[in-house]
Amino acid sequence: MKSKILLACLAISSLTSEAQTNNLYEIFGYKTIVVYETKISEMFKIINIDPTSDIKTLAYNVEEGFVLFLGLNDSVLSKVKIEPE
Amino acid sequence: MNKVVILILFFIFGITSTQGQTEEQKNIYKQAFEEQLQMIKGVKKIDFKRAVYLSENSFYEGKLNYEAFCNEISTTGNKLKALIKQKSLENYKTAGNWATFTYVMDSLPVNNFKPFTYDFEDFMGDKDWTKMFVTKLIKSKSGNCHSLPYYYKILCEEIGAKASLALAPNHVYIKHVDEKGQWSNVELTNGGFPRDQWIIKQMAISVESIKSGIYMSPLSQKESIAMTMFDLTNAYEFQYGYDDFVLQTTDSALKYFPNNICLLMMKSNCVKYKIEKERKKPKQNLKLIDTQIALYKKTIAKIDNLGHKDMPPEIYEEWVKSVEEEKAKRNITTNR
Repeated sequence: MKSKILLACLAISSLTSEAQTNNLYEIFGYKTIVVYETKISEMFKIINIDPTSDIKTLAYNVEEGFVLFLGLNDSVLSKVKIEPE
Repeated sequence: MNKVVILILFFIFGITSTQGQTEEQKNIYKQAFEEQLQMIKGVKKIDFKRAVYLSENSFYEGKLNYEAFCNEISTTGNKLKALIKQKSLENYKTAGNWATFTYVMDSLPVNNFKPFTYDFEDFMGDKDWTKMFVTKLIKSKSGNCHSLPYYYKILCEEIGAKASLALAPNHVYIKHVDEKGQWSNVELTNGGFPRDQWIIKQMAISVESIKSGIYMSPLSQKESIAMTMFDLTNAYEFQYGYDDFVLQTTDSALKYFPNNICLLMMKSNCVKYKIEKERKKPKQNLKLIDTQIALYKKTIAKIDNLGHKDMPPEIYEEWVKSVEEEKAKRNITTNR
């Protein structure tokens, strides 16, 4: 299960590295040489369906290897390091 | 005895003549400012090219030849018009923008296969203020994020195309409407077309500053003239330091561009200098100090409320260099 979550996180993080290309003068045959890339570092979030729990969300940061337990308004309740299996 | 009197007379004459020369040079700034003010007030026709020339000519103590400056631009403009005609692109709204862009960024017969480059040396003009100038760019074919978009705008207007300046922290770029009627960005420091999202993220622009319109909005013609007034003030401050002229010009320009961060920062720096200067005097004017402190606080509060966050120069330099590194990494050659 842990591996599946990690794989899902990896897939999401690779998708968020979006290549932004735009060539304003393409219609005139201009070939742009500049590619603008923005790496968005996002965390994989799982919402807790238990409304009575103080923990509202689990946020995984795969790159840095930790999980955040988030409460209301994304307040950090605790941080747990992900150990390799 | 006579020798001493003659020496004193020479000394007095020397001081008087230097002071007179400085006053004469300062007058060139004052005249230039008056002309820019007439443009922004609508008394005189708005002419961005002329306004840019006025700022740069003041720094050069009135020694720049306006006719030669216009001829240079007009010759290039004719080449660009010919290029558009040669490619039968007259019916496209953005053909002029494209022609100007390729002239500046590409390797073409019209620019003798020598495109303009980014001048990494003293790119903020800290040592040499002329590094900011369009005249320097034309002469050396290298410039920065100030001179490159200014020149682009001047050339576009010369050939009847439309282009607006846009501001980001410590940065100027171009915005113009594309063929589909959408605002697009043109980045002349690397010849790309960054999307708004990229600019926001890369230049750490706050949501508040976008909402308040201080960054990323296309500047109106009057706002562009206000920018040249800021340039004039900056050049003056570089040569003579802060004085009442700096405050007068910034206040006048702010009337027409009240949310301009560059002008507001110039004003706050000038007021701060005035406070410090007064405090150093043996007999301080406390009332003046109090008034200036209140003015300083008011100006700073306005800057903060507009959501401005300054980008440190080293981060900006890193950003520009990273683009060049990226180009090199991709084995892109531009014959520069």
